[in-house]
This record gives sequence, structure tokens and C-alpha cells, in this order.
Amino acid sequence: MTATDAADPPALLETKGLSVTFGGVKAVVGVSLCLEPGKLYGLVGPNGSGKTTFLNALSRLVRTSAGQMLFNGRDYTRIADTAVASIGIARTFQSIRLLSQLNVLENVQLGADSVGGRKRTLDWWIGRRAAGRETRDVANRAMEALDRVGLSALEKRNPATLSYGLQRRVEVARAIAMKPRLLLLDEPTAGMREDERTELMELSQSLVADGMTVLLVDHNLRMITSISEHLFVMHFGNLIASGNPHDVMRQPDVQVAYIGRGADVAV
Amino acid sequence: MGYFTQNEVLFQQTLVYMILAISIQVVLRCGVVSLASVGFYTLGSYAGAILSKHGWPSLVIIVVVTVVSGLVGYGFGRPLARLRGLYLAMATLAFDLVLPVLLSNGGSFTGGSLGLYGIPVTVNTGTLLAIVVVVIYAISQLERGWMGRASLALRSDEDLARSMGIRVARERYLAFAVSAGLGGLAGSLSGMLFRAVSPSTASFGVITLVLAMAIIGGRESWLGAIIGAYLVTWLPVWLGFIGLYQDLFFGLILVAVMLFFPDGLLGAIQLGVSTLRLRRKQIAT
Repeated sequence: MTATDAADPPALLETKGLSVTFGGVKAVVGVSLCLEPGKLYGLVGPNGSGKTTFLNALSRLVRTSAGQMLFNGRDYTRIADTAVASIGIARTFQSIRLLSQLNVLENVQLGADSVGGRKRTLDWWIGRRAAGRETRDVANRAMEALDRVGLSALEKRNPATLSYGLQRRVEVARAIAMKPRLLLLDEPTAGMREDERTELMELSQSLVADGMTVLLVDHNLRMITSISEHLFVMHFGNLIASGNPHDVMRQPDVQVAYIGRGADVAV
Repeated sequence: MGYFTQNEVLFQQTLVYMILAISIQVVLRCGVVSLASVGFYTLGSYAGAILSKHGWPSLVIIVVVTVVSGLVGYGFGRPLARLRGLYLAMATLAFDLVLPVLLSNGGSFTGGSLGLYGIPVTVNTGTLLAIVVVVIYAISQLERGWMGRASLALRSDEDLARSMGIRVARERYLAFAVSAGLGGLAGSLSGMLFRAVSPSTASFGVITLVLAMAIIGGRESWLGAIIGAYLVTWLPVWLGFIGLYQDLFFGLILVAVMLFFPDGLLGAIQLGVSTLRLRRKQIAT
């Protein structure tokens, strides 16, 4: 199955026949797709359709069994998982993964550290001035990211004391602080209130307006079809549809995947 | 001065244990449950004793043993890098416990099961204190800034750490190396301070004692290891007045701390301070 149109404009991310298997289980089967810069993409599919595994593959947290991944025209299928951040891909996870030992700002600094902030190991022992400059740079980047998600006033708070929606925003800030070109958001609105959901979607749209590419995985079909410019649908590890969100949701294959045979989905 | 002279050996033992407790805390903070530094402590104590007997200057011994232990620890970390949690603890425990057997069978080189005696004392308490201060400074720098955040991420969530670009394997090797280096350093100092070394240096009792120091004090910071080393070394002395029951009380206190303060005494102190601050804030508003 393919939804590739890499000719023009140039793709930011492209996958060609990407597959992931766990033993005998085919979690992702030959997925080929293409993301252009500065667009908001949606990825939907029923539970167990392989969306998160696909994101894990894109961020190299799971090994691919076949296929190729290109970022900005360069093959990164075999690079180390820890190098993905440096090429410009950041992500959030399905479950909240903030460190309760650190405050909000420090959690975001963890993301800011990835932008050249971990090079001068010896400076921490011998070069106080350079270390101080680095600390300021990282703190500034983190504060900018926090400001972006509207949480700069909560910088000293322990993330565990924040509401679920705010914790999600901190996670997005941490990802933004990595200065990515591609942001992968894995079900960022799961469990959120309606107003929190709306705020996060507006944030995603503003990031895209600034030139970032966002691939958003979510279960809320109404919301995702309304904000994404292009929608991908996965089912049993296969990419079964790709295109304009409203058109895609009317496709019989997609309706069958979600509701069952003969159903009609209103979006 | 009289009190200090009377208890000098205990002060020295406390300072050596502080370094050893930090060597365990360094790896625990990164989520690496390694007890290998006790093994390096044993090897370091023999190296310190043997080299001291051969007339090597104490500073050279300290540097050589620390660096060699660190390098061996780095190499040691590579094959063990795939192991996690209890499996890693068991592998490193095996390393620690096999050493007494090897040292007991080392003939005149290691002094057999009796160990080595009559080692010249070439380090004094002042030097030892200065070394502890340097170690604390170096380790406190590791806990600051990106390295501190990275080690916490490593312990709490490896996938998160990877996605943040933290080189998980390298950080684990480094933690092994630093831990082994500190173990070797503590050992070399011990070998040059206490006139004798024996295979029982790496006994199961010593391993649990050092682990208790890091856990009771708190694994989040070097300060926890310092508190733990101080308490565990001095508690039996303070409990001396209850005679035969002191081991029982010592054990009960350890269990109580672990039960009621899972983040160690340092965690309890930090919690108390933050609660007090919050209350003051509430009263003020």
C-alpha cells in the first residue's frame, strides 16, 4: 500500500515499505508514506492497528524488519536510536513520561539538552565559564518552549502536582525544546477534557504555522479530521488509506475497519 | 583532640566508606544495580597494600589504582550492559564473591586466607579528607546540569532517554567506570591506612553494609551516600551501651528507615523541608 508522492515538494520524511515484526506478529506491514514540511498530518486506526509501533519505528525505538526511512532525503533506517533527536525528530509518548524528581523546567531542559548541550563533558569539571554559558543556553531554550505552551509560570512546580492536561503540555514543551523539524505526537489528547483538547490542537496548529511538521496519532476522529491537512489510516499494520481527511473517512475500507461491514461513519 | 585521636580509625573508616557508598550511589542513580565496586574495593585494597610494600609513593598508587579500576570497570561494563535489575546485581555479586576465593589461593602474593599484614601507613587522615572532598566535588558536578538529568532519565525511562538523544549505553559504561574507579580508590586508601588486608574485604556482610549506606542515605544524591556512610559506620558505636542487642537494634533501625523512608533519609529531609516551606507560604498568604 502506498501513499507516496515524493516528487514535489521535497519530502521531509519518507518511508518505503516499512515493516516491523515481533516474532511471528506483523505489527507494521510495508507502510510507505511521505510527509511534506510544514504540514499537520493525522494518523488514525483502531486499537492494535500498529500506529504506535509505526511511530516507534520512525523514532528507532523498535527495529524495522524491512523497508527504508528517509529524513530530509537521507536514509536513517540504520542509525542509532539516540541519534534520531539530532537529525530533527522529536516525539511524545502515549503515556505521560515526565520525571517526578525534576521540576517542570528541568523536565523541559532534558529536551533542550539534546540540542548541542551534551558535548562538553569535561567542562563540568574544569571549565566553569563554558558550563555556565551552556546552562544558560539550555535554560533559555527550555523557558522559550515553556512559554510557547503557556506554562512559564509553572516552571518550578513538580510535574506530578499538575493536572493531566498540563502534564501533556509539559511533554509537548519538552519535545519543542529539542527544536525538531518533525514532531510525532502519540495520542496527546487521550484522557483530556474538551477544553484541554482544543488548546492542545491549537498549539499543534501554531507549531505547524511556524514551519514544523506534525504527525498526530489520535482516536478522536472528529477532531483529527478537522485539524489535519492529510490523514493516514492504519489497520492490522497496513496503511489502508491516505489523503484528504474527509474523503478518507468516507472510504469503505476505513468505515469497515472502524465500525464493521456496512457501517457509515459521520465525521 | 583526645576524642579525635581516640576515634581516628573510625573517622578514617567513615571517610573510606563515604567514597565506597558514593561508588554504589553513582550507579544506583543511573538505574544500574551494580555491586561491582565492592569487588574493585577489594582489588584496590590489595593493590594499595602490595604497591605500598614495594615502596611506591602513595599519590602514585592512588592515581594508578583509580585509573586502572576505572578502565577495567569500563571494560567490565560492556559485557554486562545487556543485563538489567536483579540479573545485573547477581552478576556483579558473583564477581565480588569470587574474589575472596581467588585471593585466598593467591599464595604469598596475596598472603593466602590470612591476607597481608604489616603494610606501611602512607596516608594520613588529612590527605584522606582532602580526597573525599575532591570526590564529592567531582560527583556533585556529575549530578548537576545535563548529566544529572540524563542519569535520572536513564533510571526512570530508557525509551524516553533514547528519544531525548541520551546515549544510554555510553552513560551506563561511564557509570560503571566511575563506580569501579571510586571502588578502587576507596580500596587503595584502605590498603594504605589500616596496615592489613584480607580476603574478607569483599564478604557478603561488607556488600550489604555498603548497599545499606547508599539506600538508607538516599540514592538521589552524593549527600545521601555521605549520610548513609556516616550513620552505618557510627550506629554500632552509638548503640554500644545496649551490649549484645546492638546488632538487633541496628537491624531494626535499618528496616524502619527502608520501610518509612523509601527515598532514604535525604529524601525524608527534603520532603520535610519542602512541607515546611509550603506551610509557611500558606500561612503568609
